Amino acid sequence: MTHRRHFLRASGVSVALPLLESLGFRAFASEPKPAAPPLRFGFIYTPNGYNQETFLPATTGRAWELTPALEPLAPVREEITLVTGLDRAFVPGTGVHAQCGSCWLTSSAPDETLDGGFPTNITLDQLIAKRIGGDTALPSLELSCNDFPDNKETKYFECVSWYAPGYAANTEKNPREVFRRLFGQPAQGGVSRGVLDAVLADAKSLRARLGAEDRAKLEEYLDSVRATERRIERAEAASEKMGKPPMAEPTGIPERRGDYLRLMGDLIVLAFQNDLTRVATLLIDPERWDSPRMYHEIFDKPQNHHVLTHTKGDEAKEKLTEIDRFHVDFFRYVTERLKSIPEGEGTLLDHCAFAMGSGISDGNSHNYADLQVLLAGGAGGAIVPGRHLHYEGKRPLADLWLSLAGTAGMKRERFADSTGPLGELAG
Amino acid sequence: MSPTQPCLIGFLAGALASTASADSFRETVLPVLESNCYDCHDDQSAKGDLDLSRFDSEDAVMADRSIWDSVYEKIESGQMPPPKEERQPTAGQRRAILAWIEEIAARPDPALGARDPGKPVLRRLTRLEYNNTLRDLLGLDFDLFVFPERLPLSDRSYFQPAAGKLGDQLRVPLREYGGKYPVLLPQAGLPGDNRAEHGFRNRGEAMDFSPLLLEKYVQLAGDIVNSPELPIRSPKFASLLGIDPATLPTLTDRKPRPDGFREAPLVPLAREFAPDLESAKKPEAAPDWIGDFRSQVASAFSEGRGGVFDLPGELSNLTVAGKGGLLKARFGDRMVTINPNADLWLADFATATESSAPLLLTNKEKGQKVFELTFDIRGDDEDEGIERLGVCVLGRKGHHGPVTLTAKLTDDTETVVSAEIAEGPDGTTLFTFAAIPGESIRQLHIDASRFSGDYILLDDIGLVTNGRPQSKERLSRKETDSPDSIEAMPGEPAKSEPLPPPRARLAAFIEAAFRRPVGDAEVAPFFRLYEQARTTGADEPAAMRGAVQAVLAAPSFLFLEEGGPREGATRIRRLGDFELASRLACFLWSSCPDAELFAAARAGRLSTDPEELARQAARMLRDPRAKELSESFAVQWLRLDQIHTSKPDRDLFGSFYSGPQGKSTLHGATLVEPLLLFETVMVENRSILDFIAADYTWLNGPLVGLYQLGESANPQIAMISGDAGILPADSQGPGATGNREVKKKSGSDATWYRIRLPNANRGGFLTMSGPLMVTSLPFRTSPVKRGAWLLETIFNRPPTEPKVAFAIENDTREAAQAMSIREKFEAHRDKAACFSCHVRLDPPGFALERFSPIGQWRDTDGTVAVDAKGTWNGRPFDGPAEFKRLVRDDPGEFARGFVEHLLSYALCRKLEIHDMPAVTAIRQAAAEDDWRFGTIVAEIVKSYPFTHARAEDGSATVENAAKGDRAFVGAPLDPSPINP
Repeated sequence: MTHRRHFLRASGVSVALPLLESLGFRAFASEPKPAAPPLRFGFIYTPNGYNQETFLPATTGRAWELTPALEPLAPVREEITLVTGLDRAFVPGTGVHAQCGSCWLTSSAPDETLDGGFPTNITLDQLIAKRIGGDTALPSLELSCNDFPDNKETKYFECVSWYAPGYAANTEKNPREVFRRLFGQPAQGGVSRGVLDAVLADAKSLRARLGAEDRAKLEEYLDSVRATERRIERAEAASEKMGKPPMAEPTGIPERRGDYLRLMGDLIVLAFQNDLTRVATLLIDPERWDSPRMYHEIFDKPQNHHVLTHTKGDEAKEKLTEIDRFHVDFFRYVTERLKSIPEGEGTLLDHCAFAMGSGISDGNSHNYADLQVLLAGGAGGAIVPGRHLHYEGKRPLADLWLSLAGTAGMKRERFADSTGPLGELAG
Repeated sequence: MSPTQPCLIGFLAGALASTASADSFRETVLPVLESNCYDCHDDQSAKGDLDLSRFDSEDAVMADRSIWDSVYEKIESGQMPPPKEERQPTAGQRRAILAWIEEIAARPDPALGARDPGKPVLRRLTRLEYNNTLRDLLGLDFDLFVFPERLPLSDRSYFQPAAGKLGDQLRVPLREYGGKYPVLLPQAGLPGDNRAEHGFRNRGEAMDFSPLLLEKYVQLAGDIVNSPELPIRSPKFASLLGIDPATLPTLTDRKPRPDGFREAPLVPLAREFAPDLESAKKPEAAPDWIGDFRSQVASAFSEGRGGVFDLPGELSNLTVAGKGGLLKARFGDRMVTINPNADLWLADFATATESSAPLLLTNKEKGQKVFELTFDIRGDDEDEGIERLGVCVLGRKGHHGPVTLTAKLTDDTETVVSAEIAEGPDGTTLFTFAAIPGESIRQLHIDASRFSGDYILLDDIGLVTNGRPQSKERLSRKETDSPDSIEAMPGEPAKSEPLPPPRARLAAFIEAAFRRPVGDAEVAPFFRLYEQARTTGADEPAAMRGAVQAVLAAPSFLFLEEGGPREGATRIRRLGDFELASRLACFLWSSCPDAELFAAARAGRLSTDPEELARQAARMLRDPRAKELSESFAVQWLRLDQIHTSKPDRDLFGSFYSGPQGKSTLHGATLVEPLLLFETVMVENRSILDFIAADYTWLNGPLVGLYQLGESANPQIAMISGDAGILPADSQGPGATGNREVKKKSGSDATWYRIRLPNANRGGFLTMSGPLMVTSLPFRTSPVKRGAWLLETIFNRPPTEPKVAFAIENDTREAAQAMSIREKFEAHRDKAACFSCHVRLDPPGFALERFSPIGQWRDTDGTVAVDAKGTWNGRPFDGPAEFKRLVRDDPGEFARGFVEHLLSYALCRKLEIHDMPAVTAIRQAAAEDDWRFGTIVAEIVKSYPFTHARAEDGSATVENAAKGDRAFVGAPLDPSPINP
């Protein structure tokens, strides 16, 4: 098999690309004393809220109790920060479910509806990627475990990561494709400099023929070409540094739900470990969707998560708790994986802020208030984990995102409808 | 549309004729707004974010018309003013406001200087369109990759629209949902497209482009152009690459087999045995060293009685199915077939060096290192067999161990040769066998069970037969004269003609791919890629592959470009011929224009003659590709794409499941029934009112069982259920009456009959199991979901999203048995916050309460009698038949909904208030022609918004560039220019 570097050369033309970042990379690698490891940010989205009765601990501070849904966190409770009682404002006129995922990380205040009736805008992960993702192969990684074959809902259900108002980042759902993008050798017929040059030339001639609105839409294509040029440049450097891929190539989407989630989690962890990306989002499942799915490890029959949230009775509530616990256990798994990797003077987890949450708290009433976010990691010392911080609906969710933006080095005064960073995170 | 519809149309026509004066706003509209609307919708309260008081003049309305279509809908449907308000406008006032809004909608837009024709967001091809476009560009008759929008029909030959009639009995076989089916690239694909809010998947605003997607397009294009099978399957592609199709292996079946198991093409035997091998080990028991064997094979080759089965690169990654799959090679006028008893794989291993590049033969299944090859020589001499046989077992990096090969002869004796294969390339060993005189070798048994690693690698199967030497003349005969089952590929040119030069071939392909003429400057970047590859040593096909890959990832191919200079003083433009051709092809075929449509575009007929647009549309509807209108438009419109993810509760609805472990379901049947109704109306150019109230439907055995129509007195149905043949729907059968037991006959599931229905309880989409199931929960019906589906699909008036959540008390499976769902909803509806929507939402849902979650007729819901009474537009109904009659007898409301959906699909955009006049005109033309489907399509393609677009800012500056660049290049534009 041909090596990527060789492949790029063989495919022709060399293009003058900004070399700053790749030079920076080399400088970083050759420094006698290693610099502090970079920070990494992960965001996992679970749909349809949580069963409040079995999720939210009554105790705050270090003594928070393991509720039925949070039980799986027992082995890692000292690594977790539970941030609860945060609010978000619902913007009327669009679906309750469509908005809670697509706007979970949005930087737009609720009154800025730049995308039809939706306050979608560039999301926190993308802002952080712009800030700290510069010299990695992929500035950000957007994954999804929504493997329903019917694309029955709109893009507002598919993505938590957005580049701009109305401009959703596409997600990758197949672990094999994620692997190939991160670690794969260039396949025959993959992206090459020559192909990128030709399509860029065509894009430019097309742009000249288009009006202003269409030109703005075509910009998505042009940006994609530029980003891909950067990626193959950096992937070359990264693969030289990394050598052999750190795991075997997955064959596809695992049949069992838990295996699927954990495999996607592994890929994020390995991408972080090898500094191929520093920002990742993972949509566990889309909001609503209303297709029954199998949760192999906990039920022997397919369950409809959304319908369960609107079903009265203890049986449905118990099932919701099971699903919540299933997702929390996945979060425990990712946390342990991050913790198992030594890095610098500590572990990879110490240099992470890894969040998991939902855009609504109580799924039955579509409540946008009293949201819960689980945070794993110390974010390089910015977060002192092991505590339950409860804000009683007095602070917007955006305050947490503003805090994380600050941790990533952004000097922002505001994020969406934020009122100020959550000082308590630092201890 | 309200019951006042006929009256409204009359009023409207009058209003339009006289063009309501500017004062009608002040005189007739403003007073009503002031007394009936401002209480909630002024700048103080602005309920629902709506402030109507800011419109103090007609100019103010014209400057911002967008919200007035929702005002129109609310007034028209009686939702506003709220029915519980005491103060209501008179019927005359309502009519006047509606007429005024329609008149406002039809006026020229002040900013554009003309009626606003709208402007779709620049969009890329949907996944379906991408597949279909490439399929048609390459002249294939199968898909390029697997994608879930492709419905699980395994044979579509029943759909012959040119006949103008579907017949009364059809064969519609289904494949397993999610199962593999024959495509070019079973492992490749693209991400799916999401639908737009209340719309279809073909809308620009619903599609985003990202680095991830770009890489997928580039990779997929690479997979396509590098597919070893593509030149074999597509003579057009072979010609484009500069490969003479006559030199390619011949296929007997043009379709690939599913699951990567493909029929191996027929290849010629090669002369030289293991040319890449300097030397090879020889096991003790083997008779020949490599040099000896080589010369035996070479001399046999020149006599036409032997040669080397060499694996050409075209077969890369081919899997030959065990027991039945054949490797085939010809030598002279004879053919040798090799039939393995386990799946074999033609591949390239990084850990081994082939004895003749580029491929080797190995076991497909990991660890399956024991298998057998059975040889057969086909020719005119029945006794011809293999006299000498040789095969290389390749040494492999990191693996070693003993390998035993056993040749079985025709007299059942065996010759065993064993060798220890060393690690690495030095381990490569030549196994040879010689048959005893009078016998021949029929089988080779390979046992590498003790060889390390998962695969045993073979290469270069050399053979010498005991047949007569063939004359030179016979050796040069083409394979088309060959014996046995070897057939020429249909459509293959008998003699190859000289191909145009590479640049002309590429330019012609680019024109077809970009769906328009292209200038030299546009071809240049792609041709440069070709030239660069040539200078670095690539051969012509390889260089052309790279250029074509870039074309298929280029935005001019992926995006549907529309743009150009404005017209006169206005800021609108008439679409050009090639833009119209693409619009037609996307609308009716979900693909690219064909040769005839291109010819019409090239002649300038589409942009100058609206009747030509209608003629082309009518022609295209008679083409089998029009099936996409059913499989894409109708499926999205009716939400049939959700059928297969609906999972009715197995315990409550056992009749939905059958077979071992209930693995056979009715999903497929419930999908086909609505498809066939849509296709009947489309092909037979019937009234779209059949969609609501057809007096016929299509059923197969299982659906007859589900619907229990067999127990009615209808003789035709009784006959089907007895499987005793079928009568056409419009003939009266003899009296085979009686209540026969309905028995499912699985063998007849693929056979569908057009049935005249015994009564109006069934008929039309509303009463079909598919839509009824999609709008239910697994264990109960949902009148709200059904009502919302009906408002959205049938009337195109989707209800607004609820602002508060609501859950039915005690909503469990057990509770669903005991209490009527309707009773639970009634309580909810009484809440004021819910009433204004549910007054529209609930009645249709209640009408359909007669049907269970899987669409069975029922008299009780749990233990409670079903109450299917309600009122619709002020008229009472009881049950689905009466509800359907209300909709049918006042067809304007449904017809408008349908026209709006189809127009929105054709335009690839949301409809706006300025589209109202076009919808009205299409609807009126359809009404005058018995609501015929074809008339609606014809009126859509001739309509103002279909043939025009807003000219964007900046377009004017492009005028010269566009003109200068549109010169024709070399070859004339033809979608099939590369097919000799």
